[in-house]
Amino acid sequence: MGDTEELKTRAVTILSAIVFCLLPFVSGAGVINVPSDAKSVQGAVEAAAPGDTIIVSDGTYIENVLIKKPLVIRSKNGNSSTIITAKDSGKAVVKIDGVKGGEFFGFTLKGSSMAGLHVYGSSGVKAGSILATGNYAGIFIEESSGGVFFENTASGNTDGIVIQNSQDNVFEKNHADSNAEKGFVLVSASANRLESNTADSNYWNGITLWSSHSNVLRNNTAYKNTYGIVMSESENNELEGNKVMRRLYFLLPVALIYIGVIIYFIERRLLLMYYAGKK
Amino acid sequence: MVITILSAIGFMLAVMSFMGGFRMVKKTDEYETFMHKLNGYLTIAFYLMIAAISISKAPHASTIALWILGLSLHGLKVFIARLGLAVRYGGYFGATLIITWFIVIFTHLPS
Repeated sequence: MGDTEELKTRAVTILSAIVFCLLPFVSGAGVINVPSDAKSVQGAVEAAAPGDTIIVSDGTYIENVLIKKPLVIRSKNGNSSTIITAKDSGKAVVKIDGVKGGEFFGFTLKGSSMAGLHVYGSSGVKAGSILATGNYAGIFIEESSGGVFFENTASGNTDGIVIQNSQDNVFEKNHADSNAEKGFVLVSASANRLESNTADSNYWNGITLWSSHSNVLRNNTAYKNTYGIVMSESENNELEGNKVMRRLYFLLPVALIYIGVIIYFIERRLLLMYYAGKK
Repeated sequence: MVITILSAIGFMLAVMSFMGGFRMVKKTDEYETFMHKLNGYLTIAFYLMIAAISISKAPHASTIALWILGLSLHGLKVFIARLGLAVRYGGYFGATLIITWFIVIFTHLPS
């Protein structure tokens, strides 16, 4: 009886040890909180293992973040209260470099003469609810594929969202409005899908395709730009249900009312003269 | 492009007719009445031209229905004026017609 009890105790001890050793491997990814676990976003990125989640609390973080592993990085309370400003304005505020997968949500990114969010050489990256402002390019997707970018806002930059040498990405419900040059810029980008985005009130073009082929542009709006959708050296692009109205046309009714009033008074004067002559 | 130019002229005529109508509320001179009618009927003529071109390009039931609705508004305005109720209701209908022409012009701008 005593031996059996001892055997049972040993078995439970060994089993517990095994479970304890395996626990880190079988449990979910770790969560790192900024600033309680790591003081900076970059610090959290360095401390994290691939697949970990980083949750960033409200505040302004002055740094350049370089992400080279697939992580889920989220703000706690959205982009209005979680701001990352470039420490070195010559670099992107956040650069996702050579990553497969990963998510990035809910930040304001500003102050870079390069880009707010720069996704480079990556695939399957998801980014949403980003507000990129005061950068050269708000969001810059370069040599990347299979990404999903949704509900981001890139306004007050030189260019809003730039997609270069990239393919098979999806851009949905983004706003590339009020930029100093262009809203969406696709350069040598193929088979991307732009759907239900807005590219309004940019100084030059709403949506520009240069040497970009087989992209789908569906239900986007490009209002109040100098030019709406501009395509150059681009073939086999599918355009469907996009709404375009150039800035000039918004002034047209005002001009027509003005001309109408002038013509009315001229007409009146002529008729007055005619009727006076008749009498 | 033709339809845009026609829309622009029609819109200007609508504005001119609207102004004439407002002046007629204060004082009805013979020449004012003539101007208002001339501008008004020319506006309707342009409306019909644009409608014909538009319907020939896209003969959908919804498009035709909208054009008929616009024409009915024009007709109603003329009817009200003929009934002698222009002073009371003409201004509202005149403004409605201007809005109609705003829609006409914005839907016929080249993209």
